[in-house]
Amino acid sequence: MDVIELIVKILMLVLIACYIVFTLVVFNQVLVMNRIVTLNHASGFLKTAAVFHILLAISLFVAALVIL
Amino acid sequence: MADIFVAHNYSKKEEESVVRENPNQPEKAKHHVHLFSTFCTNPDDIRFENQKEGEEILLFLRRHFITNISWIFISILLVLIPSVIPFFLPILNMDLSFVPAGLLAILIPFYYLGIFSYILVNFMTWFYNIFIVTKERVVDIDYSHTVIHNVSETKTSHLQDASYSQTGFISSIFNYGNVFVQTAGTEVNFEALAAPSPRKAVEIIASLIGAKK
Repeated sequence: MDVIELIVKILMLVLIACYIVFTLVVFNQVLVMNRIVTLNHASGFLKTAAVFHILLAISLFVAALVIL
Repeated sequence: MADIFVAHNYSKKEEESVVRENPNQPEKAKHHVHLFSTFCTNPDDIRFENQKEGEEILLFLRRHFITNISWIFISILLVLIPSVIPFFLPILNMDLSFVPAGLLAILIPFYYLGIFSYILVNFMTWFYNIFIVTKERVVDIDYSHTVIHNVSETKTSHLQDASYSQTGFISSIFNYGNVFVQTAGTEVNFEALAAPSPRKAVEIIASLIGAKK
């Protein structure tokens, strides 16, 4: 494997890992805000969107690990 | 002999309907708050932190949905950009063949994931900026920049003045404006920015000023 390819792979993985942390922060904020104010069905929608966001980010990390 | 006055025995339901017929009484019908609600009187499916048992919410406010148009427009543009780029590359004499296919297969989904988070964060910023008026207090919930949230509240007995400003062409068309609530002493003043039907909101808040509990 080329050194440049390896550096690019590591950089991409680090970038996506940081992104996963960001998605977790967003999810935590959704939980915090839902504790402050609860709007029956609407709050559940945002929670689902935040979980979906985390799953997408983790899937991308796994894909990058395999493809790159 | 004809009766001058005959007392009518109202049932409980009839009594309620008679009370509602009084034009000075606010409408007591309960309303549901859905995902995109921006103005709701007497909502029945909202709970907030520290809400007392039996504390009735009179008004729920959020920014008018039209104020989201800028980030929605930017999101649509960002979604379309990757599909437009291949048409411009020959014009600009650029070639992306040096980029490995594997890297592109990761970069493109990563780009769209970024757009998804942009939409989610902007929607959350709109969704969680809420102004609630109950019979006992006014609660202002502010949320911004993903990690900043601020909750302030004051008792209705501390309210001194409520006013609104509606400036600009778009705010007049869509009937939204800034609602300001002034409180006594050194307490923070409250504001609901770009609130729909600001006149009606101010009427509801003003009806609480000086009202006996």
